[in-house]
Amino acid sequence: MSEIDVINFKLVVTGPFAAGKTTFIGAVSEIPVVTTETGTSEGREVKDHTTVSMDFGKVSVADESQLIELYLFGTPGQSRFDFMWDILSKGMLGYVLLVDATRPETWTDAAAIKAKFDELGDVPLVVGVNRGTESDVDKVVAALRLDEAVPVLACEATDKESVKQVLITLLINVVEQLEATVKGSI
Amino acid sequence: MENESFYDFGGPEPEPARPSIGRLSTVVANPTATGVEAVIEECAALSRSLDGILALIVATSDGMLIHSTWSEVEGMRAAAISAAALGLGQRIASDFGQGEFHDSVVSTGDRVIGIYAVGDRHVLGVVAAAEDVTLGLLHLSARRTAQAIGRVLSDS
Repeated sequence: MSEIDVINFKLVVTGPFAAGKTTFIGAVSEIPVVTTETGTSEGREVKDHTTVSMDFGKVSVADESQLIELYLFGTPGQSRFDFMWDILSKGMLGYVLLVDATRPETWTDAAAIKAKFDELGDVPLVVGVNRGTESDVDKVVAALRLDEAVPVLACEATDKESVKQVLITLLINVVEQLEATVKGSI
Repeated sequence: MENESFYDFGGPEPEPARPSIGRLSTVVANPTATGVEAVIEECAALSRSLDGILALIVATSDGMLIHSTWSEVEGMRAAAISAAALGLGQRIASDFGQGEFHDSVVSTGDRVIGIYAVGDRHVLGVVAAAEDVTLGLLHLSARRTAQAIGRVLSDS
């Protein structure tokens, strides 16, 4: 056991109101998820609970030589909570931008959140298109004017394997960026 | 999922130092093993000096656990919560108070929970039994501990 390196990665899961961020973290977390949900006073037709501070969960990815622990910090979706975005993005190594394929009216919010997060840290992102198909992926890429280097994956936030795929894609990008940084500094 | 039942309050039992925290954060430097030892000693000194301390946690401002008297999983969760509380407190201090955040208090019937800034990159959380501790004394002791931990962590 002691031969195995443990590496910890802080990742943020963000996206518009009701994109499925809390569900996404809950689907993979190995520990009881820390949630701060409260009743919604607006948007009740969409859902009746919303995150007001943060969600927190953890998932491990292992191979023979190392154990990578992903610490997942979920943000509130509404821009009135944007101060929590600053707080939660501290020290992040990458982030997931989750969008709801079935509610294109939220995609402008998603673009605004992405612009804000790009200011908060020069880290890789992966876009997860929740409840989406391949054709939704193209629409999201166009609507958010995503650079072709940004991976965009259709996913189901309720499905553990699907969430894992998104996280592993992000992890690969984070590791690549870290390696590039290390090389660059030598 | 209620957190109430999740945290075990058997009172602080010093835990062995966590292994090194790895290269997690780009913001907060990870303390050395000796730094963590010194943090543990400061926490133990605080619970010795004050009756009614049930739990202690020290975390980085980006939510990584340095030391807690809970189990590792509980400590990990508490670290994320403490960092969010610190960040929110700092925001309230600057926006409403036009000053620097020192501490905030959450009171329940049975417990008093203090969140203390440790320098500007770490946070100390203290859970105490309300019937055994007065707030003034808790603040006095915990702020002193926060300062001592701040010195240790800025040196390590």
